[in-house]
Amino acid sequence: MADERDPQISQRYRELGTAEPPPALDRAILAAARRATSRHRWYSSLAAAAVLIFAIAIAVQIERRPPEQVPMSAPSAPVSEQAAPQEREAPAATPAKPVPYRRARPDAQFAPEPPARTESTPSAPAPAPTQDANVASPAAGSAADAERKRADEMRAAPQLQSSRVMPRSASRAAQLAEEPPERWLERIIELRRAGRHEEADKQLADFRQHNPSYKVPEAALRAEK
Amino acid sequence: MEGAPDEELMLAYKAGNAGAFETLYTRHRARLYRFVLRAVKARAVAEELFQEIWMRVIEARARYTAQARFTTWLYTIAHNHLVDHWRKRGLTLVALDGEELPAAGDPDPADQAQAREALARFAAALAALPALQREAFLLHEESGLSVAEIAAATGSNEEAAKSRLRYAMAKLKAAINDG
Repeated sequence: MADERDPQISQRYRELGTAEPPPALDRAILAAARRATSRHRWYSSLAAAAVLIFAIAIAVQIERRPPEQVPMSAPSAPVSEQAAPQEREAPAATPAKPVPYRRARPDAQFAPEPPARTESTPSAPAPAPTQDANVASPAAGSAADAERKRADEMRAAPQLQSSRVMPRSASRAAQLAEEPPERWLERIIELRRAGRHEEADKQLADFRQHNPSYKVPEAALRAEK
Repeated sequence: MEGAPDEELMLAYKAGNAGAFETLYTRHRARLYRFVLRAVKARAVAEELFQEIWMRVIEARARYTAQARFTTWLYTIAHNHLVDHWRKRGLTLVALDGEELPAAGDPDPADQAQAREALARFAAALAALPALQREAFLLHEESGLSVAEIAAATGSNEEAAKSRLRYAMAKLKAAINDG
């Protein structure tokens, strides 16, 4: 009821006049509105450019990252111990890797990660296709067959074998060989102190292969005596 | 965008379309100006407040959502500005009840024609209204807000808004009928 207008009141009210804001005031307000939107556009463009640059930078960084960076993060630990936590985080993915790996081994030159890492996965339902696992695996046939296959492949593609199928310990030894000899020996001594003599012996053999003329200290040789 | 609803225009302005604001401003400038002018009864103050209200609209565009009518949102901002203005001047809405009449409301009956006298009485009656009643009347008559929208814009309930509007109308009607 109160929403309805009284025509007499409305008429009289209109007669009071139609005052309007001065044009200068209109111009000032409209100019302020335009300035506000141009600032908005400028900030939006800047933000979009910043996000784009950031995304490109991340993509370039990921592209340049060496594939073996992860295993090198804890070089004193055994390979099986390093790989296990990673694979526990993604248990569903690990069992699927071995199958394409075995089929693609002769020509799979671009695979970034050697699937041999699955060998120590505790939750892996299927045996992993590594050297050791293949020997022990009933699914892969007899141990002799597996060995024969591997030997054939090594003969057929020695380059591929060294870069792709190389066991984790061997590839790690190659990485260690790039370190200064002193550092490598320190690692061997640490293994001896930890009582891991078998591993230390392997490392020492590798060390000698790469540094045949280097004098090995007593602490690194102890188990050999 | 000339025929677009206010809410759409405001959203377009929020998205960076300055032309949408110009349309919106053109649509509401005169009524808002008169609302402020008749509420504060001084042109210089009215112009200052009018500009401040629109600046607040510009600043608040990012927070605007089309949940209510744009008009209600605009006059809520205007109402808040008026309240701030009165507070700065040490006045309360109730204290405005006995404010002086505007110059336009001081007719000299001896020099005016009958029609002009009637208009002057009306202007005087409008100016003499308690501030909340005058605001309710201006929002209704000048800005076209419904009772519910007046309640929303002034932060009161519908009953209070309806009551203020009814009292204002009765006094103005009495001023007209006096002649």
